[in-house]
Amino acid sequence: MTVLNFKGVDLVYPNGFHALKDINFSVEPGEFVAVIGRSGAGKSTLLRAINRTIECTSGKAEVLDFNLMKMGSGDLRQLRARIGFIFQQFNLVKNLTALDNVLHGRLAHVGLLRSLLGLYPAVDVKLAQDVLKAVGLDGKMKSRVDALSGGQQQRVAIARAVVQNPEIILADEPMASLDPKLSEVVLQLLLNFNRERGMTTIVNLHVLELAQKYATRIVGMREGKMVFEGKPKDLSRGALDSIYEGAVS
Amino acid sequence: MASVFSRNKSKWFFAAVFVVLFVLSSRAVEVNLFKLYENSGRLVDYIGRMWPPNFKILPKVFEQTLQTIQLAFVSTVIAAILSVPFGFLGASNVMKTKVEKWIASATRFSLNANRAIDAIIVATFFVSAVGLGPFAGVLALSIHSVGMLGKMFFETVEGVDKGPVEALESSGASRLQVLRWAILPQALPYFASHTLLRFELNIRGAVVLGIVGAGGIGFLVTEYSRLFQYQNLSMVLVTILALVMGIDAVSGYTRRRLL
Repeated sequence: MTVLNFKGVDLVYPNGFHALKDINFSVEPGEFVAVIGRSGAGKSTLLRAINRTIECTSGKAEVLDFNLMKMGSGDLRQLRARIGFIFQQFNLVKNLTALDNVLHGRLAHVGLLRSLLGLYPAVDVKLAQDVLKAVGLDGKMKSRVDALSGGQQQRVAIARAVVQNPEIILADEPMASLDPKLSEVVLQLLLNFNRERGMTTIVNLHVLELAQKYATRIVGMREGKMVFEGKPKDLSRGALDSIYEGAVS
Repeated sequence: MASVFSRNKSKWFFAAVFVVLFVLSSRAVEVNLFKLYENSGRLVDYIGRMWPPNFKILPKVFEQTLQTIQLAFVSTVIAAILSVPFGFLGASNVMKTKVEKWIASATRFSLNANRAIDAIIVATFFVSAVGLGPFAGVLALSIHSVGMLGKMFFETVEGVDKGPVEALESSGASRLQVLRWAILPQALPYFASHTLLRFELNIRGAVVLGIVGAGGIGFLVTEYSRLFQYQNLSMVLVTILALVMGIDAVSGYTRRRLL
């Protein structure tokens, strides 16, 4: 059983830009997949196509048994509730506390009135606190996000995704705003959640060494096409050339 | 010289049009500096009679000042509450479908129309319903303030960071949940700041409405002018100056702390 299955998927933006071309890609439960490629290769578009922030224009696209090519708004919300998304720029509400931001990950699981009033069930609050502890922020729960460092903010963002109890985590260059040491911390956290909770993880990375170190499988993209798919050890010089067009020496 | 003129021909043309318009308009509104100079003695005499301000009427002035502040405060709170829905209904990043865009356009048009009509004109309508007094002033200032606050609110909503909106939408949150938890927390400090700015303006507005019958300190300006009690009038003017400057200072400080 696959959690994600793309066959011949194309994505063309309204302005005519062909962002994804004939994507054939499937992911098994529990995998840790790294997507690599140069800027503009289509990595972010691929992740956004998976949670249908951007709609594919043709092909067969199934995620968690939902047909992305044909789904209503109710189904879309159900699908997204089962997918955690981690952003490059964290995308947190900066004037709220770390705990408030993490609880946002539970909104899809709470009744409308309760959620609008911020009256989360005690079990959700406990879950959010536990996840914040797991990412090493137990002393910062009541801190406003804008008072936290970049690394701490990204950990809040990871906690927000994890608290959804998602089956898939998508991470779009989650270390792009962090220094190398923090990048390792963030990736290690994602790996821990992947292994301990079985959350299938697909992460866009621009640092090749990190992709080789952490991923169980690597997907290489160039100009909207998948030009490589395989294990980190299979990433030969020729494969790298096909991904980076000779940019790697 | 000729080449300088030909190079800047359009600038010279607009400058000439501007000067002609200014002269014609000044004549139409009877601007006459010579007349002002000729009668400046009367002005000096008028100001002279205002000195010194009569401090004995301070208790009465304070009482009316408090009513002006209360009028502005109540009007501003009502306006802010009414403006919040307009802030969302007019925002293009909230109103996305075809029907919603039409609603947003209608909202913006209503707010523009509201701003075009001054509070004093709005007051004349309410005086016909509730008579002279502070209540007509509250109604006029509240309704008039919605035009400006509604516009500032929807511009604030349009300016919020889109990142949290994308994050919450990606987690399966509903539109109302996104409004409540991604947009409102970001917009709220700005809503408060704009409301304080409007309170500053409403203090001035309440003074002016008082002059035309809404009560408060503005009413004292009318009363003492009609009775030629110049020293009382100067006490009122000094109080208005202190009130406006004081409110501006407190409001400005609070707004800086909010943002």
